[in-house]
Amino acid sequence: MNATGAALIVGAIGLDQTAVAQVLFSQPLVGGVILGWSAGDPGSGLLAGAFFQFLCLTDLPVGASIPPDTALAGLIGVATFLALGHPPGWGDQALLGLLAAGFLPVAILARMFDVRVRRANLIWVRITERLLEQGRLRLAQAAANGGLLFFFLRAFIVALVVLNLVALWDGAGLDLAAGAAPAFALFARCVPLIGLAALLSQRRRTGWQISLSAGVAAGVLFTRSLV
Amino acid sequence: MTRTLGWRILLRSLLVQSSWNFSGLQNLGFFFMTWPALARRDLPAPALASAGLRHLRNFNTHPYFAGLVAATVIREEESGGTAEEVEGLKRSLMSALGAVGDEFFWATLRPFSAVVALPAALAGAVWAPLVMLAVYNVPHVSVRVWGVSAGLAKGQGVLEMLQRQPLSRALPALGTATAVLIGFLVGTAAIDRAWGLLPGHGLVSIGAGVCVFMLLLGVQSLGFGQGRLLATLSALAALAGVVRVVSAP
Repeated sequence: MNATGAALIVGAIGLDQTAVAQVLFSQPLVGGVILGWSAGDPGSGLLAGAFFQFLCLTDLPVGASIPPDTALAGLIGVATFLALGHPPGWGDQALLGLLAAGFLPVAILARMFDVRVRRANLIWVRITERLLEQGRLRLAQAAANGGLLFFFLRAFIVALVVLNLVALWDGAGLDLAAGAAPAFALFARCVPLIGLAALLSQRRRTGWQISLSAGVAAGVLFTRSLV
Repeated sequence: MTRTLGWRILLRSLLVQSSWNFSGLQNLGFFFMTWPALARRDLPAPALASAGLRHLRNFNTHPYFAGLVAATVIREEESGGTAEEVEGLKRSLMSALGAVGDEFFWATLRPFSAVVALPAALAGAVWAPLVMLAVYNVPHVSVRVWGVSAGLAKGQGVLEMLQRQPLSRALPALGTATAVLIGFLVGTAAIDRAWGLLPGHGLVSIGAGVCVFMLLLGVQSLGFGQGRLLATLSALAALAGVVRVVSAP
């Protein structure tokens, strides 16, 4: 799958974030498998989708600003993971760790586009009002949904830019920097813990320590019974 | 009120945020949802346009409850409510339901559905996303369908049903279940061969995983948020990577 194809899929899935239905297709875990199927590798899509989903359990507040767009950054992260394949010397975890380092800048870029789209959508209010005043009622209904185009373009353009940059880079130099892979693999193993800690710190309720401890014990026993 | 009208409002409510804007917020979506009801009133064209413009006033609520608000407004308009009464009802419904929906769906059910599905996803089950979709969308779609049908059938009477707060009552149980599942994920990851911090070291790996999790929790509770933590640890990984590459023979 080339960069444009992947960006088109990200654009379509990204509509679910705000503009259409919001049934969670745009979450990395779900969107990742869709991207994986499209690229002929659902297993890798699932792995990367699950990884980035940990960073989308909560919003990412940076200072007092509006939270960055983590869902779109996660989808683009999955598409990038699929595009890079398996560079020599870099396991899946190390590559995901490397991509997680670029997650926040992409999320901030996506958020900037989101704000611009929401400002630009004002034009559809003006057009709809004018069409109603002119009595062109069917066109007014179509204009009321004009923002769909802008929301699609937002996700498509951000994905297209990032994925084309990735295609130009094509993992050049990763083989020479393979010595850095263990550091990024260790970082990748911390990422799920970062996401889970963020969720718990936001959603703490009375007795959370008992619930958490019970869950840890169940998890350990479950995994050991499998081993 | 016809069943067809209910379906049309329900389907159109899926696009309530299609043109979300900073000026009128979901106003275009509200106009689009209510249009089928306006169009069937056999009004002359200028009156119809004026009714449409009235429904373009600013509107914002949780998107899953938008259909309920639209249906209630339509019902009250068709029952002879004055424009001021209907506008007042719309405003009170949209703000109350906005807060309830954000708390229940965005802040609670969405992360819950993810942590339910993530253990299966980490184990490589390709069906894991279906679990997430099912856990989230059964309540989501039910609320949408119930909202439109209750709004059309009861009108203002829907307020009485909402005062029973059926969603808010589920929050404590969902919060506890989420904490248990977070613990489960930490426990499984701690000794997992792929995701354990020290794979193959049994109890030491469990201890390391739990300690790192508690440390990250403590740091975030002090206000050092997830974004900053991610940026700091990324920078440390990059630094360690550079040192390893440079010092390699």
